[in-house]
Amino acid sequence: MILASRNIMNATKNFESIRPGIDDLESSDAGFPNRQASRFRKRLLSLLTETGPAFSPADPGGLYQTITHAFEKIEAEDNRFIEETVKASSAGDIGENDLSGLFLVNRLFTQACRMMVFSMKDLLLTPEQILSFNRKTSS
Amino acid sequence: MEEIDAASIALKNEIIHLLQECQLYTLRCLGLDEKLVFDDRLPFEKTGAGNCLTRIFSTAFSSFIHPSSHIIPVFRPIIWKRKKSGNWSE
Repeated sequence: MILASRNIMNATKNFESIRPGIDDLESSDAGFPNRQASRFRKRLLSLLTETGPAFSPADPGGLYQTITHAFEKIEAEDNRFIEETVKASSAGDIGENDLSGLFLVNRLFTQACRMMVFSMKDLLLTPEQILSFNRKTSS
Repeated sequence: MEEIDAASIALKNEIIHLLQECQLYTLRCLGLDEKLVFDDRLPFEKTGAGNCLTRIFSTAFSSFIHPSSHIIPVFRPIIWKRKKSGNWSE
């Protein structure tokens, strides 16, 4: 529980610290950083709407699947972001300043999302489910 | 042992509450509409009824009613009637 509360606070701190970065991406002249700024917001919204039912589950058996799926989606979105950014960079669609900003924001954002899911895992799952989740995510 | 379990459950519920509040704060921080996620009641409203009139009145009354008293004061309007004799009575 202590670990969960630490994760919650660190995630919130990360989200707060990336806000100026997202604003910078939004105000960039290039189209790619603008689109990514709104994608970060969509990613957060998607995570919270998907994991929202976990707090009052109609089907407690589905809790594990919800949290595991949320984690997998965070990883998939992270990989997709890196892939797209590298492509856009090699195509010359992003300036150097925007590129470093994009990677920095994505790193902090992904870490914050992971921490949020980890805290949910520690709070809502049974010890057996936590072990299974840890095995699955570490492999 | 039961007390430890109860304390542990209470602490867990508080941390879940903290998580929801942090989610709400994050949504506000990034300029997202919180109603898209918290569509019914906001996390911090789960603990109380809020500052509705009923609560304000009950708090106000409880401050001057003796704790041991179970009688709820009733304030009826005073209507003065004029008797046949010409005097006024309540």
